[in-house]
Amino acid sequence: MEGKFIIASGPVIIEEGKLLVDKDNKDDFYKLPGGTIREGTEDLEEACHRKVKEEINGEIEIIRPLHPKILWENPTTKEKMAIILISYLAKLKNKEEIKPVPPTQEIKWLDLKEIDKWKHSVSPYTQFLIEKGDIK
Amino acid sequence: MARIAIRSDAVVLKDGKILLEDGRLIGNWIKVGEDAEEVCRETATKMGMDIELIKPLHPTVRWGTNEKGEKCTVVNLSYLAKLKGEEDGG
Repeated sequence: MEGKFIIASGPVIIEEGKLLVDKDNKDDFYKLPGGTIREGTEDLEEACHRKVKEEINGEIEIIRPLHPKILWENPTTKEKMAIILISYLAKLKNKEEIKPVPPTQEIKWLDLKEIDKWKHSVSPYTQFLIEKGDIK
Repeated sequence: MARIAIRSDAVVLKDGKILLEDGRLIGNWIKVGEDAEEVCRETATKMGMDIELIKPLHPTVRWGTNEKGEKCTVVNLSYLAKLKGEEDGG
């Protein structure tokens, strides 16, 4: 198919019953770390490692892939395009060193025991992973 | 205009063997608006099989050019699956 597309990759990090999310200055919801793969030069796992480093100074070990999702329009602009979202369950190797790296403004650990309270204030893809049982 | 092809496949394992149809996994190329998991299930149904997807497997992305020399990106999504009513896929 022809047209605009984005491939994004990022980690799902769960520690001590809490999910790591971050927030930048573009969206008003918390989202998983991660972002767009570098076209032509990077694979999905490399992008996952790079983005978590860029956003929160995190270093991770990838454990296994989680459910992918394809969006057929940009949820913000409604532009027709393919957005392929890939995520991996991952372990954070440097918890003490993570920090928001601009434009990331905030890092938060969401308690999975209170998932019903916050599941509507996270990104649609995070909600999808909750529905699939990948975040629990 | 950028070109992308997205394929969704089910990896069905049984008795230490992998199920292939004409040398390919059970799946198809995804068209605009389609859901990756649904494509797997529908393809299997058309082949007379009823499958249950168990878990996602490692996705891949490949960068290249097609026969016209156009840049083309190929994404493969795949799922471990089992034939319904049978043991887990392995």
